[in-house]
Amino acid sequence: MSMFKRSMMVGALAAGVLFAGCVENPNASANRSSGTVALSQDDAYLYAADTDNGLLAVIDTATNAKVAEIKVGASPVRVLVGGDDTIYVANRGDNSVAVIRRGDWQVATRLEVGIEPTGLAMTSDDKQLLVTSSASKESPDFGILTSFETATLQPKFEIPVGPEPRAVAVIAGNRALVSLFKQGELVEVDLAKGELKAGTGTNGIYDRANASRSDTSFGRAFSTFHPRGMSDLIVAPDRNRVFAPVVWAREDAIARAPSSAGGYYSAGGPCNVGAVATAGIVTVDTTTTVTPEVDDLTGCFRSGTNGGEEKDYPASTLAPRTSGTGEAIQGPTVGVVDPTGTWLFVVNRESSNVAVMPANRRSGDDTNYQSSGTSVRSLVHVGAGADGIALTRDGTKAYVYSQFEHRVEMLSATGRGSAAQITNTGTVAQVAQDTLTPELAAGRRLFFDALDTRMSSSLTNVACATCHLEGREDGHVWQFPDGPRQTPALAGRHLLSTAPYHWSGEFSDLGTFNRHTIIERMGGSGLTTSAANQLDRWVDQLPSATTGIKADLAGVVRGKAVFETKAACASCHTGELLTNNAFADVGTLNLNSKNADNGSVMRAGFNVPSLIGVARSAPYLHDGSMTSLEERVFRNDGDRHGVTSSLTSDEKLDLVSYLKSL
Amino acid sequence: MPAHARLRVFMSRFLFVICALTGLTAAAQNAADEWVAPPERTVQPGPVAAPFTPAPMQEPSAPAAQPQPVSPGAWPQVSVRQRVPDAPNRVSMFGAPALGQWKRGQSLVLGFPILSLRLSIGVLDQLDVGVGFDSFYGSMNSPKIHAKFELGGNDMVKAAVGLDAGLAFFSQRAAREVRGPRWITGYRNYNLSPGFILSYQGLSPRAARLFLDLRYLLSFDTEPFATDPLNGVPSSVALGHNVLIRGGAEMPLSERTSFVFGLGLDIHGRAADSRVMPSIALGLVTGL
Repeated sequence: MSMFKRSMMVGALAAGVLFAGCVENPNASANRSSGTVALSQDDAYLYAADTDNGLLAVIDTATNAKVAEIKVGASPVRVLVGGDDTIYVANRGDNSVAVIRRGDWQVATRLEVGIEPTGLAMTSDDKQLLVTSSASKESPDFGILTSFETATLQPKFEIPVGPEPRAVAVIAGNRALVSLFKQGELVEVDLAKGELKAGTGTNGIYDRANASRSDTSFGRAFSTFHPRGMSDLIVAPDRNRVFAPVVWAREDAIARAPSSAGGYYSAGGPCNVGAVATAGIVTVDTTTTVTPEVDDLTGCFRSGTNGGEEKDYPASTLAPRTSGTGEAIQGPTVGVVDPTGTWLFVVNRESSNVAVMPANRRSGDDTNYQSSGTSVRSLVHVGAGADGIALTRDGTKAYVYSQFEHRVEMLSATGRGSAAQITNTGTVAQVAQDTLTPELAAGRRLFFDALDTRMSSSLTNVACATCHLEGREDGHVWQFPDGPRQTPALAGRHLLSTAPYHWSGEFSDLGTFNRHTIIERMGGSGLTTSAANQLDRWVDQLPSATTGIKADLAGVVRGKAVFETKAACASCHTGELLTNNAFADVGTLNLNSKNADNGSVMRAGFNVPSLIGVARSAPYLHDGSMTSLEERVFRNDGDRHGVTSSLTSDEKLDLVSYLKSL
Repeated sequence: MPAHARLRVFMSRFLFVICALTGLTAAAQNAADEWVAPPERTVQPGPVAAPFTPAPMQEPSAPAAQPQPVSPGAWPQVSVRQRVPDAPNRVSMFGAPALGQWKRGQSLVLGFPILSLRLSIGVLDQLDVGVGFDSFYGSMNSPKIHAKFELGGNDMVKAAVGLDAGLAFFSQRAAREVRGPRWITGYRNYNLSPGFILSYQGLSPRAARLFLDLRYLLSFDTEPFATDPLNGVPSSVALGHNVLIRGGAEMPLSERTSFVFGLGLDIHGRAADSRVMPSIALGLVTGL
């Protein structure tokens, strides 16, 4: 063979190798929806779950006409569409998952799961459906992850995953991540083995977010922040990265600030972003090990770079690009990454908007974290109570469901580059109507609204729901000027019947309590009496967290007897709501040490709380000093909190069983 | 080849490498290559001038005697160092002339935005092929193959067509890059650039070889991303259409080595790239 021929062959071979890499974009299919809306695989149908009405609406996306309405169960909160176009709906209110075949438009079957199912995910091969339930039917102490074979809809495995699990996401390597809602933690699951990955204790989010908390080089104490309310897990198309919406809750002492300055919830957010409870995003690298990528929020160093290299994940706090314009971000609830993996959409319920940001950078022509302190590029207003988003396969439209307004809105883009804007094109479909009375509906909006200046200053932008997550609590202990205060659960506690208010009980009626909380703490201008009534009535009717344990019913009965007699719990926790609305010093009053309780407002100890739904409201006591009911009952020195010293261990266990059944 | 000649060749190549590395391009000229042989004759010293003695003042006298004829052998001998006429430089990597069959050429260019190394060989009298390596100083690295076919011309003007093809590796994913090598160069994962080359060289052996290189750069982006939210999912491969204009000169330093200087303008077709990007190149071309 001549030299020329050899050269030509080598050249042809090189060219072949050169262009062999032109392959199909692997990001073609991805999780395109989250929360209460989803699209069929071909985008022909939009499914919207209305929680109040317990229905799933089927909307033809070509005509925007509602083609079907399916009664799926009580309180549907999440919709998932499988690869074969089967629709799965998690019904939080009746502990089931409804299965619907496309075109049938009726519930084909119901999968029985744990208490309050909230999370759905499908493995990449479409063979396993994963469901997280907030609590097990055996115990409210932990929730469960249940795997179903999609071919047979039979359970494959069910494992405990920790307290209050919320979202589940399938990640690379046949693994899943589960978020623990209140704790802001992640749990990693080996799907092949159906068990938790070994060594997954704490996931490192807290440590990374507070990396400089022990650094005293600047001669000052650092504020520290705990992630709370981890409501969703947003998976990138390559499944190597997950974004978790959180609320950063401040842990150290919170100083008083006048209402004119936003109230004392206003100051001290992470690096002066937001309030004491600030919306955020935790980026998690899941390529091999689960590694949170979080800014150090305690040091307040401008953290757009990492050793000179720009960080390749969004800023860990969510903030609008311009402050003081009435815009805010609060209550991140669900989100989705676009099919290219480039853009992250986060739906914020309390600020009624969708924040759009690059998923893998924080600076560029369109956003600059170093100068603005945010990596959010666009903020689009949507209806109230938004808790679902779905992107079309072609990446040109986003549908958002506004739960409080029962309607689907559509977002689209105009222009490109610096002229690009995302706009809300308006209502696509009105799915249902209010089941609440107008007063209750208005009260709910007030509870969840961080933009209403009657409720919260524009310097603060917090809602009641920012800490009282879904009307319950966030598991956080706040270091308020009047001492440490664990966020009390409101749901099921019948607010109107449990005066006085606050742990200290310094407010004898709801009027003074509202004025103090809304004006002095949240910086709002205050509510009229009628508006305050709307808010209070809505809170009053909230159902408690479901416990409903099946195990040890005999123990519950025995424990009730111990509660009412031998342990003398019922001397204070009495009546239908299990409170005498009086005061008691149970040995936790602290008047002397750092951040002591405010003695001037304490009369005879703390306001006795209702015990309704107590099992799912850990930690316990005003300072959160008891992490479990077992600890509470077994650790009671001097019988300061009930008479437990005379109880046998079995009686104590029975007492715990009873408390968990409430 | 005699030992001293091999040594000379070795030293020439060594010097070239040193010069290329240090940027002292002018040093690449090896004077020993330009002179055929050392002078065989030396210049004879002229007669020593007599000490100056002023003439005595005297009255004009009778006319002097007529000058006597001088024999040719009486002239002082003068030796002249003779330079052999320069051989023309035919080694062109950027101009139109082909190297010629089995002739080799190399070039190293430091420039903006590209650092480029190329090795070529003439597989036909009119066809050169080769490999190369372009780099945006580490943040983009692109191995390439290239070919040039000399269309023809005359002793001064030549035309050629060329084709470069290569793949590029970037230190950052496209979606993360902010005004990086993609924006500056227009390069993407795979790049193909056919072009037309025109060059002019005067008849003088060391005349600069001016060149004009017009290229169409077709880039294949296999990791396109959505530059704006909700603006659609890009196709799996996005094409970039660019025009590269290069002009400059290869300035021969010797029969086989030239200094090359070039200026250019890149016109990028993708909105994600810079619209226009100037370029500059400084380097060496050699056939050693």
